[in-house]
Amino acid sequence: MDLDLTEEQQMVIDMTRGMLAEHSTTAIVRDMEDDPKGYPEALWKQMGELGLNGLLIPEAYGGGGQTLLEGAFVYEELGRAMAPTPHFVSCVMSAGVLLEAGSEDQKQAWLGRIANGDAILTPAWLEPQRSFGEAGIALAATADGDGFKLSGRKRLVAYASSAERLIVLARTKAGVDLFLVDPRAKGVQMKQLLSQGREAQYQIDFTDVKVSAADRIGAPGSGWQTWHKVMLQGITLLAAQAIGGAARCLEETVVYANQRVQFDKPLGAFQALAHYMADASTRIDGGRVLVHEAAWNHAQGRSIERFGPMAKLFCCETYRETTRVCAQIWGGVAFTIEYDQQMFFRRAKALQLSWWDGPYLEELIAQDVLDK
Amino acid sequence: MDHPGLEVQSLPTIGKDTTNQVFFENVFVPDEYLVGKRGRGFHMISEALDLERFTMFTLSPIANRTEVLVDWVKKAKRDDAPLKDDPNVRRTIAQIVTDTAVAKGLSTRFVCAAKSGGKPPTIESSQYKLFTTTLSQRVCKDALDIQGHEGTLMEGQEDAPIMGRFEGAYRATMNETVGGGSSEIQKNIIARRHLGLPKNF
Repeated sequence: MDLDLTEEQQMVIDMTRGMLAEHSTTAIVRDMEDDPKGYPEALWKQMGELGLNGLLIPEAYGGGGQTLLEGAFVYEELGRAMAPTPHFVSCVMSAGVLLEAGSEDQKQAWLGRIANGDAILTPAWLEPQRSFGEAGIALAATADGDGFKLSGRKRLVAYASSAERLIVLARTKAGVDLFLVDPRAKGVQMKQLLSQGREAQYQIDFTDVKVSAADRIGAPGSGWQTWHKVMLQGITLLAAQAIGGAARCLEETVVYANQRVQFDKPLGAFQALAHYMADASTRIDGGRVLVHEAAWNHAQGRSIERFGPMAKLFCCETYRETTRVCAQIWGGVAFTIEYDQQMFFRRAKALQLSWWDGPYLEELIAQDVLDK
Repeated sequence: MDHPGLEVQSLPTIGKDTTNQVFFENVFVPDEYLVGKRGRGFHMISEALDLERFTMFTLSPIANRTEVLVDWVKKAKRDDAPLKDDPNVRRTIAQIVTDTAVAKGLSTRFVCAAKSGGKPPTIESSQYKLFTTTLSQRVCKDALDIQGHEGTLMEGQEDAPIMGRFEGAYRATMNETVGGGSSEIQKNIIARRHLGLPKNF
């Protein structure tokens, strides 16, 4: 793997950072916290115009056909800017599921519209008191004539209020299946739940919601396999997002540590504080290589069963720990809403607990290392 | 080394190496033995240390210990059950394997910076050394924790797990976070040269 960026890769990074500097300022990010919609139209429109929404979707379906490595560069920038966007749920996870297992009709119907930002899709995955694993899927899809009836509760369905379709993970006789469900269908009820990351999160209740057989994605019982495969790609991008957040949090802290004087010295001249920052920078720079290695391996067509989980495990802990030590350096002001530090602090922990948490990732790594 | 006035005393260590202290008693050194320009000695040794930090603490023995531990855990049993099924052991192994991959990443970063020429890769070597030597000690500590009471059996004995490899390595790696510039020195270097923080000592 070559660590040097190509000119095109550097262009993608610069373009994304420039756009986010205008459309995802901390004032805009604050404004979107707890908002029922959760993302600004201007940002979403810009992302579409720059081709970021279709970045990972093949050209044949109206996307840019880029690899996970380009995706990682973009996600580091989205993490830096704490960008409030449904990009991950729609353009990565939902598009990923359709690409992996969708019928040609399903792909034609949705991928182009996801790529240009016209349609937002979001997965409905997690359930109360249930795990991240396959056994966590309990929402029942029972046979009903030619189709199915769905009943159960889903949580942490991000940006559901803007979704044209939900991708629901449900339990059928065959195992776990994925269904495209219209959130306006009879029997669907959603309620916003506030969360630590303050993005638009919904709880959705399904009561005998009718779904046609044509809306199942993939062969019967293949849902979990599809989901797992797409998740490996998704968590690699979230690891990049974590590195971006950690890097910016540290950069702002370094600036502050150079300016703020205490006992006649800048804060950064105190070794106890400087060493926190040196440790954080080492973890950030090391974690970034791991993310790129995971993404590069995927782009080369190799398995990322180990690299993906390792990248998310390490980078999310790096983000969390960086925000913890940076708060020590800022002191009491980091605890106030007025300063931006708390925004990184909350998001770091929320990201670590979402989309496979530490123990789940550790077990995936252990399986790959010890059980094969 | 047989110069008049030069005395070498060996100092055995708890690792395998022996170190030395060297005494100089009015040792005459002719001008032609001066290395480089006068007054530039510390600068030159600092550059040499950038390389030492990488070459003295190369990744291969550290990554190799991670592999040896993984192979042992895969086969070991405790109370007749596979040790690898112990959730604490699984978690520890996942963390070690992940951090070893990060150490490899930091080593790749150093090599890329070194081959591009220009400035010596000071920051990359400090980050690599800081992270990797800390990890190296942790792998040995975790290995002994996994082995439990059998971990105390001293290196070189058939009856010790993996011939006492980690008992020996636990002792031998003690100096890694000191030699070639301690972890604290590496953090000072990273803080000043990489992050641009003020001089702090």
